[in-house]
Amino acid sequence: MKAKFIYVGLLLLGVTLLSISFGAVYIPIRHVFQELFLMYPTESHYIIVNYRLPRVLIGILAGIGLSASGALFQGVIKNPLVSPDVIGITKGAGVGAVIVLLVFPKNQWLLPLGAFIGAMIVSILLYYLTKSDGFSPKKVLLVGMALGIVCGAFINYMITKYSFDINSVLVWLTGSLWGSNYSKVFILAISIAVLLPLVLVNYRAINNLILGDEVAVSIGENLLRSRVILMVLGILLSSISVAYVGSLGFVGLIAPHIARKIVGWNSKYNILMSAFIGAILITLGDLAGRLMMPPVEIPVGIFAVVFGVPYLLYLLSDRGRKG
Amino acid sequence: MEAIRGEGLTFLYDKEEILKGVNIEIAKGEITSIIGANGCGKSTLLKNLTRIYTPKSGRVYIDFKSIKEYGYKELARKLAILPQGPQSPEGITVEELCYFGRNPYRGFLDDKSKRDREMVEYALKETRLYELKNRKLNTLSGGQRQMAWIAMSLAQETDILLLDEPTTYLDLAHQIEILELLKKINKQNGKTIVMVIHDLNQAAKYSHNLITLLKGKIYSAGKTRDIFTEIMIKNVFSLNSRIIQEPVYNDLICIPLT
Repeated sequence: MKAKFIYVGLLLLGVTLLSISFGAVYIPIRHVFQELFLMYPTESHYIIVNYRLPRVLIGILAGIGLSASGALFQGVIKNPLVSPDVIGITKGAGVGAVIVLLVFPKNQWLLPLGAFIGAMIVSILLYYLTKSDGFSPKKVLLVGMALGIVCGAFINYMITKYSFDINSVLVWLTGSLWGSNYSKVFILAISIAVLLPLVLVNYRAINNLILGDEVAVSIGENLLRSRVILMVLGILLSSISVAYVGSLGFVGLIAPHIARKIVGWNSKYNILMSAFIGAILITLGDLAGRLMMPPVEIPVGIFAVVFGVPYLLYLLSDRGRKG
Repeated sequence: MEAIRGEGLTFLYDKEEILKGVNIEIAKGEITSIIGANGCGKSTLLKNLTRIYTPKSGRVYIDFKSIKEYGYKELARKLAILPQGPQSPEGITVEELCYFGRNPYRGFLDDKSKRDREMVEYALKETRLYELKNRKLNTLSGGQRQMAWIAMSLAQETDILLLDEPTTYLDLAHQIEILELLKKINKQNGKTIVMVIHDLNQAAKYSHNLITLLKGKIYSAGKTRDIFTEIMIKNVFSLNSRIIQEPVYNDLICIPLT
């Protein structure tokens, strides 16, 4: 188990170095090493420190937040199709974020709060709209997607009506690492550093919930309390990530599936593994987006959709359900 | 002595009254089976004796203490219930499943204790799954899988074990294997066992007591010999039958008549 984490950790490190190295301007990997590990200033110092590094860090942190939250949701709701991006929760976060941008354009630090409130509202709506069917997987998926579409339309409307800085709003439409800076890195890093350990120490509650309500009750789980705590943690993790990279879809859906293939069913391992995988996926996607046709950047969110939608369809198919 | 007492239990499901004022007593250290026609509320009654369902009105006492006064893990150390067709995560092994039974004994971040290991080993050996403990649950046969769930419940080390149709979907040999195991455990440890079961002859053979349920109400309850009658079968199952005695073990056997 440890070996698996070391390999995946090394892979993440490798991808990170490549992502700092490649882009519109090529930076020799030697310079990246010298800058990061030896603190030795090179001629690439400015571009690494001010452009590449914060961007890569935001990608890693958001990947961790979205994927850990995805793994959490899939466990708690016992539904492999559920991740905050697929069921509209991140779109709700997007609405909250856009409103903050519009009303308080100067207060960037309010973004995560707005995103969280938006995500909470969508989650509560989703809860009440699917309750009658006992939260059946398909219903949650359909209602969640519908809520997501409504939120997306609302964001579009806001942009058209108030025509504010289109670039910063574009972030919420596709999900992009464009415009990363250290104040974002700082807030995101602190949030993840607080939230992720809180999720990880609750792994046993998540495992118990996977056994189904009746068995979970039988072995002494307080269903309501565990669900509320875990869901709020999951919503916090995803909405704060969304506040900075936009409603970057599908990473939170796919990463947990890959993680389970690697480390198995136990939440003790697969939540952390999801976080690693999510970080790798976003970093890779962002790197590919910068390399494809420079100097134009393809937002990482587009890659996420290109790979994510077929995967979702696969999961929905009979083969996916059996496998 | 009673292990469980339910007083005036009513329960609604989608506005339909499933239990209509049920009074029930479960004798300590004995095997009790709840029988009745489909849809009479057997499973619902069983779940109302746990935290899975909370009755709309009425009270449940476990060991003379109201179920509401138990902590979540405290109750789980006293009473285990194995529901019908439980779901397991993909790729879980038999032993890993058994450790879930130790959940009520483990603190927030505790590692496995010596007692945890002992009880899991005991449960695996009792269910004859010790050799298969590292096998994945989904590679086992239906009978072995059900045994694995029972092993989890045994690892839970409770005085009381409730089972909802533990033998459904199994072939006859596996049904008997499970019932014999329950009988043995009841004898050895004096574990109170309550089960919902469809096969009347098995219910009669393996239970000290029977509770018969008719349309959400108790029809009769008591010692198997007193309850298992042709009239009861007629009224509860709308079935004409003859009850005879097996000559070697004196088990009561119900033969349906057409």
